[in-house]
Amino acid sequence: MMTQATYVGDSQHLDMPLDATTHSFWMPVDAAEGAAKVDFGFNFILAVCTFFFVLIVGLAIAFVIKYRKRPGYTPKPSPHHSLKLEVTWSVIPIVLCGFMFWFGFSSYMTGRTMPPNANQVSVRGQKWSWTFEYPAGFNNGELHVPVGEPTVLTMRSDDVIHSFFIPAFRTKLDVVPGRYTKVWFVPTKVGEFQIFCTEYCGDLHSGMTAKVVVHTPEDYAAWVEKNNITIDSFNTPEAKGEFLYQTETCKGCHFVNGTRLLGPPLDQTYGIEHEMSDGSTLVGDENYIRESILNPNAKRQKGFEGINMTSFQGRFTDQEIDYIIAYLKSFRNQ
Amino acid sequence: MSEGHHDAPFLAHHFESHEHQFNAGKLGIWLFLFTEILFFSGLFVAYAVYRSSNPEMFLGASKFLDTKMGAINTCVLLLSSLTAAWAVRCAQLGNRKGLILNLAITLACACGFMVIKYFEYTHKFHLGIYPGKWYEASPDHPLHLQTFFSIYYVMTGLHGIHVLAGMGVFTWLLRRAIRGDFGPEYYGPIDFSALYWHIVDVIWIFLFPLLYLIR
Amino acid sequence: MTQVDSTTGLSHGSGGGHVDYLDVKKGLKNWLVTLDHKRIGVMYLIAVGLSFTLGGIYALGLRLELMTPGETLMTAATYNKFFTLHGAVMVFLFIVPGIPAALGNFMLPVMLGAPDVAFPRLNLASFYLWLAGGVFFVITLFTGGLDTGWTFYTPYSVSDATGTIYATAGAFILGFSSIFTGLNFITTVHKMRPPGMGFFRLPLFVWGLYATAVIQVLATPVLGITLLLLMLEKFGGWGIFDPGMGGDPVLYQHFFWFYSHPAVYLMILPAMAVISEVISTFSRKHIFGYTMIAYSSIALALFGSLVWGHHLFVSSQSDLTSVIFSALTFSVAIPSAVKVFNWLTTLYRGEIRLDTPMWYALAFMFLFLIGGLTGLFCATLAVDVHLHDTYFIVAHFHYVMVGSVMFAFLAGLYYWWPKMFGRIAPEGPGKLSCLLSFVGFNTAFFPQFIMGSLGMPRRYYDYAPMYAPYHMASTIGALILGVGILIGVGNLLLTLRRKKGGVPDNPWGGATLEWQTSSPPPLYNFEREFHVFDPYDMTINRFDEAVGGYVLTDEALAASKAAKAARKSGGAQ
Repeated sequence: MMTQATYVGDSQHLDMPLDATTHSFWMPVDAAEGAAKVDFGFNFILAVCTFFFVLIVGLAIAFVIKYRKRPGYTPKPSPHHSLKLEVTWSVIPIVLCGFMFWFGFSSYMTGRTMPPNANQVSVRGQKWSWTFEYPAGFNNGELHVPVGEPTVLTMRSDDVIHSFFIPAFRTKLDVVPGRYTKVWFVPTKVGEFQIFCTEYCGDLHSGMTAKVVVHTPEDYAAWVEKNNITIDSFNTPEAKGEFLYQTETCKGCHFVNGTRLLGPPLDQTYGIEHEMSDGSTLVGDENYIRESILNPNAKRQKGFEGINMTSFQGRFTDQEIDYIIAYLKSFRNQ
Repeated sequence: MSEGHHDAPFLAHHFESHEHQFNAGKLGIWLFLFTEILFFSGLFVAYAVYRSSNPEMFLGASKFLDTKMGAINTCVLLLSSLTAAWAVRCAQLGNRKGLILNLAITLACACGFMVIKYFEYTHKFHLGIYPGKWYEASPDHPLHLQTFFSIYYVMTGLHGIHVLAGMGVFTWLLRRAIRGDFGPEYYGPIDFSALYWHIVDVIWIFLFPLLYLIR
Repeated sequence: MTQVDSTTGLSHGSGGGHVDYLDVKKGLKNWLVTLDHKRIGVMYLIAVGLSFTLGGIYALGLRLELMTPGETLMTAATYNKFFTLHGAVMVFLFIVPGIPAALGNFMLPVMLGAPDVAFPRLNLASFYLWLAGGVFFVITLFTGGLDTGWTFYTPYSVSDATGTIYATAGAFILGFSSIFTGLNFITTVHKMRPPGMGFFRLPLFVWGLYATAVIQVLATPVLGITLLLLMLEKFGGWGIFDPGMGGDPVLYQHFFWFYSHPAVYLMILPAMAVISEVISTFSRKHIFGYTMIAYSSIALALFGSLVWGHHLFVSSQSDLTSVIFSALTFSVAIPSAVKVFNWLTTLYRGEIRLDTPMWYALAFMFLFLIGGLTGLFCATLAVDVHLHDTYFIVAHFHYVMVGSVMFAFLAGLYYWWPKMFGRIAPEGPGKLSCLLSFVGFNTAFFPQFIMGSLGMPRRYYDYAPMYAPYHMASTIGALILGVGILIGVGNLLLTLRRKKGGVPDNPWGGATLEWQTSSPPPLYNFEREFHVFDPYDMTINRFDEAVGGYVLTDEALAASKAAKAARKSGGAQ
C-alpha cells in the first residue's frame, strides 16, 4: 500500500501550517472581526474554570491530608446538610452560567446577522475538496477575499454533509446537501489561512482542506482580473478539458504525473491496457472514461478496491465529458 | 422470606403475594407502553415535519387511501378493545367461559384487521406504489407520492407488527384460559395484555385520521 | 434456613451451612439459564469487559496511527474504520450497559434487601438481547467493518459501502436490551423496597440507577425508531432522510441526539452514584447533602433530555433553536456542580481511608471537574462554533465518558469486588494502576484541548505539523493509560485464582444493606434478618478486630428491632 501513502507526503493538502507562527497558547491567530470577542469569551470561561478547579482540587487535597485516618486523630462532628451552603453553591454557578449564556448568545447573533452589500462567493463542498464560485463567473480552489470588507459565503454540498471551518476567523457551519447555508466574516488581516472540513465525510476527510487568501482591496481586484478564466477562455478541447480537471475537483484524487493519488493517474488512462479488479483486462477508451465519470464504481482498476468515487452524473454535460476525454487523450499524443 | 409460595403455582418466589406481583407487573407494563408511545412518537414527528414542508403532497397522496377500509378497520379494532377489557372483567369474576369467548373475539378481530390491511397493501402494490426504492412511478401519481407512502408504510407496517405480536399474545392467553390458569387471584397477564392492546388501538386511532382523513 | 448471628458478621465461606450464589449450581449451563440477578450481573461484567478490551485495542491502534503526521501504521480507510468501531463498541457495548447492567444488576436488589429484581426473566432476556446486539457488531467486523462514525450520520451512512446495516441492527437490538433493563430497575426500586426504606432512605447508587433507568426508558425508544428508519433508508431507499426525495438529513441528527445526548447522562449518572457511595464510606462520614444529590440525579436525567440540540449548533438548525438549546444546556451545569460540592464537603472533617477505591474516586473527582467545566465552553454558543467538531470536543467527552465513567467503574469494582467474589484485591498494584491510569489519561487527553482550540478537527487521519507535538503526547499518554488499566484489571482477575472466603461481610464500613449479607451473598441475597438504617449513618457500625471488618453496633441493632416492632404493632392496628 506504499503508493497510497505517498499522497500525504507530497500533497497539496496539509503542508501548510499557515498561521502556526502567530497563534497563542490556546487560540489560532485572530484574523476576522468578532474573533477577539470569541477569544474573550473563551478566556473568561477559562478563568472561571481555572478558579473553581484550583479551589475544589486544592480543598480536596487539603481535606484528604488533614482528615486522613491516622492514630490519634478523631474527627470532630460536622453537619451533613446545610441549606445555606447548598443554596450558595447553586446560585453562584447559575449567575456565572447566565453571564456565559448571554455572552455566547449575543456574540453568536452578531455573527449570524448578514450585512447588506457584502461581497458574495458560492462554496461547493464535494468529497473531498472545496470549490469557490465567484460572482464574475469563474471557479477556483482557493477562497480569495478582500480585507476589511464583509464576504458572505453561500454554501451547498454535492454529496454528503461537510462543514466549513476557518479557525482564524472562528467561523464554522455545516454544508448540507439539499439546502443552502450561509456564513459571513470581515477579515482583518492580510495573509493566508487554513480552511478545514470538520464533518466526517469519508476516506479523505482530513485532506478536504483549502486556504483562504486575504488581499488588500487593490490586490483582490487584480487577482479577480487575473483569474477571471472560464471554460470559454480556452480554444482547444484539450485545454478546456485540462481546465475542467483543474477546477472541477478531479485533481483532488487524481494526479497527471503517472503516480497514484487516491485514484489512478489520469495520464495513464487512455490507450493503455489496465488490469481490472475482477481479473480481466481492458484498454482505456472513450467509453471507459465516460463510464468512469458517470458510474465510477462499475469497473475498477486492480488495487483500487474499496475506494469509492462520487458520480459526476448531472455535473458534467456531454460536451464537457468530451473535453475531458480530449484532455486524457492528449497525454498519448505527446 | 415467605415459604408459603408452593401452593400458588403462578406466584414467583421473589414476590410476597399475588397483589405484590400484580402491582409490579402493572408498573412494568405501563412503563413498557410508555416506551411504545415514544417509539411511535419518532414517526409522528417525522410525519409532522414532512407534512408541514409538503402540505399539498400529503393532500394529494392521501386520496390514494381507501377511507372505507380504514374506517372498517377502526371499528374492528375498537370492538376488539372492548372485548379485551371485558376479558379482564371476566377473569376477575372467575367467569371462565366469558373469558374464553372474549379472548377469542379479540383474536378474531385482530385477524380481521390484518386481512383488511392485506387487501389495502396489495391494492397499493397493484398501482405500483411499492415502498422505498421499489416504487414504480406512474403519470397518475402526484409528485413525491413516494415520500408520503414511505411514511405510510413504516407507520402502518410497524403498527401491523404490533397487531401480529398481539395476536401471538392473545393465542397464548387463550390457551392458558382454556387450561384454566386464570381466576380472581391471578389474572395479571390478561390485564397487562389488554393494556397493550388498548395502546395498539390508540395508536391506530391517531394513524387513521392523520393518514386517511386529511383531504 | 440457616440462622447466623448477625453480630458476628463473618461469612462462613467453607464449612457451616452457607452456600453462596457462586456455588449454588455450578457449571456453564446453569449460568447461562440463571435467573439470579447476581449471576446475570457477572455475565454482563465479563461481556462488557471483553467489549472494553476490543474498543481499547481500536483506541490504541488509532492513537498509534496519529502519533506522527501522514501514514504511520494504517491507511486512511482503515483508520476511519478504527475510530468508528472504537466509538461504536465503547458506547453501545461498554459504557451504556457498563455500570448499570454489570454492577447495578448485582447490587440493586441487594441494596434493597430484595431477593431479586422485579422481573428476573426479563433481566435474562435483556442480557441475551445484549449478546445478540454484540453478535451483530461482530458480524460488522467480519463484513468489511464500518466507517460511518458511531453517529451514522446520513447521507454518508446511506451512501457508503460498509456494514452499516449490521451495525445499526446491532445498536437497535442493544437499545431494547437497555430499555428492558431500565424498565426492570424502575419497577424494582418502586416495588421491591423493604419496610422502612422510603425513597429518601435509598442508597445514592440506587438513586443513580433509578435516574439512569428513567433515561433508558425515555430516550432509547427514539433511538430505536431512528435506527429503524435508517435501516429502511439504507436497505430499501425509503427516503425519509434523503434530501433528493424531500427528506431532511438534519432531522436524523435531531432524532439521533435526542437519544444520544441523554445517553451521556445514562453513562455518567451511575458513575456519579458509585462515587457517592465510595466517598461517603471511605470518609467514614454521612454523605453531605443527600437530598440534593438524589434530586440532582433526577434533574440531570430530565434536563439532560432537553439539551440535545447543542450537538447541532453548526448544523444549520435555526438560530432561535440554537439559542434555546444553549440556555437549556447551562441548566445541566448546576446539578453537576451541586454533586461535586457535596462530595467535597463530605470529605470535610471525615476520617479518610485511602484504599484503592478511594484513590479511584478522588481521581474521578479531578477528571470529572475538568470534563464538566470544559462543557461550559461547549455550551456557550459563539465559543462552541469555534470548538465544535475539533479535538476540544474529543477531549471534553473523553474526560467525561472515559476519565469519569471508567475511573468510577474501577472504583466500584474495587469497592464491591470483595462482596461479589469473596476476595480482596491487593492494594499495591491497585494504587499503582490508579496512578498510572491517571497520569496516562491526562497526558493523553489534556493536549487534545489545546490542539482542539487551535483548530485541529476531529476524525482526521492526517494533520499539519503544528499539531504534531500534541498528538505525540496524546499517544504516549494513551499507552501509559493502557498499561495502567491492564494492571488494574489484572490485579482484580488474579484474585480469582485464590481460594474465596474469609472476607468480612463489611470490609470498608459501608452502611448500605449489601454490607449486611455475606461476601459473596447467598442465592436469594439474605439468609439472615437485615436491618434498615439511614444508608449513610456511619455510627451504626464499628470495626471489630476479631472479624477484620465492620459489624453493627448493639445500639443500632436495638434501635432497628424497636422500629420493626413499632411497625408491626402499627400495621396491626
